[in-house]
Amino acid sequence: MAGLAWINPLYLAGLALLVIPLLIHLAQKQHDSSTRFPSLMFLERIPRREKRRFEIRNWLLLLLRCLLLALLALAFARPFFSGAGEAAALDPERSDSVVLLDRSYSMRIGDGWERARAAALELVDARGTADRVGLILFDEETLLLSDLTSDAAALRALLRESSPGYRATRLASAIEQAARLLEGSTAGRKRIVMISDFRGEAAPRVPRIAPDIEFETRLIELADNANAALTAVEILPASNGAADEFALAVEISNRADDTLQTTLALELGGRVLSRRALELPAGGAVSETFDRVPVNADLQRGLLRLGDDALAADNRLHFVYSRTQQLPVLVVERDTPRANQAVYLNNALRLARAPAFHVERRSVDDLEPADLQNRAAIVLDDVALPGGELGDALGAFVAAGGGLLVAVGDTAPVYWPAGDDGFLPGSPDRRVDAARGTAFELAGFAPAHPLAAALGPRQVADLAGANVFSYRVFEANDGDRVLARFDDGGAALLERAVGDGRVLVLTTTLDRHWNDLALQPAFVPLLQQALRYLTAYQAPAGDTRIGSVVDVLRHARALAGADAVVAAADLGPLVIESPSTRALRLQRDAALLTLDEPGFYQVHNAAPGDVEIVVAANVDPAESAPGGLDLERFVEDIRTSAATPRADAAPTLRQAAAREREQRLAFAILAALLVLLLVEALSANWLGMRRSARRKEA
Amino acid sequence: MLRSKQSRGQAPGERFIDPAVLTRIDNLELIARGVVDGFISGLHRSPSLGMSVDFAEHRSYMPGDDVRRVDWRLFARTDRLYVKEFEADTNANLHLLLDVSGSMNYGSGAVTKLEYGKMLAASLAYLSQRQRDRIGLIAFADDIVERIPPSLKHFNQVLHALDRLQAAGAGRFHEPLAKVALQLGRRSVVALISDLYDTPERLLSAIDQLRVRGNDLIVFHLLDPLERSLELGDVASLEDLETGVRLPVETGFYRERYRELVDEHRAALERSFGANRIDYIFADISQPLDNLLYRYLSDRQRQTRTR
Repeated sequence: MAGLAWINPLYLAGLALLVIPLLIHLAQKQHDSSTRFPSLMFLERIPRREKRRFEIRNWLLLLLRCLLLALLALAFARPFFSGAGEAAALDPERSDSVVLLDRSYSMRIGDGWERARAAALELVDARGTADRVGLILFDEETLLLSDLTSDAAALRALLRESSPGYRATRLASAIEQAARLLEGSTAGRKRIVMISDFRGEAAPRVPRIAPDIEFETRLIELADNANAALTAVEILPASNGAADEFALAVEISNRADDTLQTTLALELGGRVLSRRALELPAGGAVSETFDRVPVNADLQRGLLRLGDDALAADNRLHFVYSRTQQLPVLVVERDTPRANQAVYLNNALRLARAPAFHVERRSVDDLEPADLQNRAAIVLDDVALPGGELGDALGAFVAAGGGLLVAVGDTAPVYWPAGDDGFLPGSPDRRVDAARGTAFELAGFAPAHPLAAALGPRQVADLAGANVFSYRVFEANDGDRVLARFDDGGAALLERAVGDGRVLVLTTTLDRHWNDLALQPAFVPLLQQALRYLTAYQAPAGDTRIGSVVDVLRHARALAGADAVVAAADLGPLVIESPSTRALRLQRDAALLTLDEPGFYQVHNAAPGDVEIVVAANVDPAESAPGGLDLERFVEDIRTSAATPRADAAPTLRQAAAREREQRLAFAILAALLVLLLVEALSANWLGMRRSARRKEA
Repeated sequence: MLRSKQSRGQAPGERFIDPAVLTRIDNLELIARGVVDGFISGLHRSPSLGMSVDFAEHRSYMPGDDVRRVDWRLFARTDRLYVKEFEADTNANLHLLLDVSGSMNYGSGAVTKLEYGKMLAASLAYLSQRQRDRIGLIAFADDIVERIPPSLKHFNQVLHALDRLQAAGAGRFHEPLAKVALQLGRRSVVALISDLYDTPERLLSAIDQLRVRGNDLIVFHLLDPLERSLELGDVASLEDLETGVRLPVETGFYRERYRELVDEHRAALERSFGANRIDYIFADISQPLDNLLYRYLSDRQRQTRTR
């Protein structure tokens, strides 16, 4: 039942003002002027009667004025209907507490979770009869287990059923959630008690809470027992460049203060491939590399596992290797290439990571249409463009989404399908040579182009330092775009979009034959970014840590080995199997997967079939690191922040609407006040006119 | 301009002018003419104030008679001396005595008692002037403040004096009327216009000074309706217009007794004046002036016939 409460009850003292109109009405009698009369001869003969000195006239007006003042006092006191079950005013005897219980995975260290839960139970048991307790579990998310209640049995049951998760700690949002829970409380004492190991965040955001809320902490001290953690893994091409092998670089940290002896095992497809003994220095980290790891499947599931220690959650690191994470690139060369013609190009592509390029080379004379299949990009390095069937296949390759990079040199283009019907940018013309002792420079690079954005301004500037001695003149056609020019105005880099693919033409060579571009620091990034741009490469979801949200289809595209899932738009919803074999169904147009537990999430079509996509989920390694948080300062900052008035404390729309609803009584009083003011003014005016008329008459 | 309106209780065909209408006319002569000419045609016989110029008889000349009154034409025919006898051998004096004390400056309606008194005096003066009587005016409060001796030619002076008069000061009757009695040289018709705020005994004593000298006295008692009823509404106190004295009153409590006292006062005046052959006319100043004159002159004519 809603009760009536006052925001400013002190204003009710204003009801004492009611005496004012009373005095005015009494005093008004005394100040009435006398009426002139011809003679008092007869009146003086009549025996006098004791005249009442104070007499109230105009009772209606007096009541109106009293009512006006009373309503004014009530309006200033701001009455409102408090929420259900709440007392009409502050209850100084009652105490409301919200217990914030940390359930991040670091609480799994030793008996941390049991002690935290015991501390919460202690708070529940220690409360007074009328006191209420709310319960919130938090890690990266906050889970409201129980609103404020005095039902201790229910709270105990909820605590018994709760367990820690695999996510990291976020303190600020949990505290703010607890403060919101206490917002409507009318208890005399309001407090938030946070039970946590305070690991995971070294410098958390300072949350703002109401000044009347007390903030307390219960630190769960965790013994820094032997604990090693797998903190990072990187998948690299194998050192020998073999396409069916890869390398793994692993980082292992020791959270303990003592040297730790442990083992590191690499498992692929459920089989232990390698096991190594490690000695981890106290508080330090080591890096281990597994080279030439064989690839057995398109999507290979791997697991790195450390020996048992105090915290098991950070001892396992899951990963997925996709064979197609190496973008296949075909380099087409001349039959008799120049000396060192391919060196710069090959080195630049070999150094690429994320993605790595799997490079194959072909002589233009040996090239067949079948060679173009399963390529992400093709580089034509100063060759005469083949016509005929091969030319058509090349056009089809680009139109289907392939990328084509053409570097022009001595070989004069004979077949050059440009213009509206072609797929190549610009029309080739003569060769231009710089005067002896001079060179052309790259003078302008389209700044808004994705390629320029990917390179960054510094590398674009580096490119301007290159000397270009010769280039071939190209006239841009409709639909072509000149991305870069030489300082004499000639086009240096042209682009044409065809179907789903793109073509880039460099009007000079990729080796040092016509320029010294290959010697510039920006050369390697330029080539790698150009191929990423041409292949529309999208990195796979980099952060597959627990708590993150993965766009399944984007992830599939990045892996590029999941064409079946991506293309099969008519196969209904996607089915996700979590590590605990819990099956979820996601619609294809909103296939967002939240990772809750460590392990492999398998994504496939609703119809039974092979696994199409695997997402590896791991815990956030920062959570298990001993905290660098200065707890005392953090608590002090929260209290200081609470005591500081908030200039920007704009209520939310919901809060504003609720306040509006609650104070509708005050608004009604104000409306009545206005009406009464009008009535009082009219009445007083009318009475005044009537009195004047009577006096005049008299 | 002087449009009259039908008053309640008057005979058909008789028209009287509301005092409120008269106050809008800023000319006392015009007011007097309007009032008097309006009603005088309604009378069957010209009113008389007690004198006549009608021939009565001849009588033999007696030693000591004024030779100017000898009828020489008759002497020529009869060779005897006769003198003419008239019913009244000379025009009467009309003295208008107007009370201008502060209490006369009261009126709850369109006119105050002083304005009503002025109009009444002017009307009487006009009426007398039509009859070629001498007209004089004496205004008094606690003393005589204005005096115009009676004369046939003083009609205009009387009107002008009336026009100037202002009511102020305390009112007394005995001393001013004693002076008036001494100043009246011959028997006169004396019309006293006042609100008569004094005891009947003292009033009679004052007026009797005039009566004993053979003057014909007419007393017009002017009162405002509110003076009779004390229907003043919700007022806190009353201030005496003459003395300035204030009296806290509860009109509701005083009203009944007040009315009784006023009625007793009127009755006592009527009784004592009647006993002394003094004409007493009560005038409510909310009533038409011509109505009052008509009523008074009708009564006076009837009384003259019976005397």
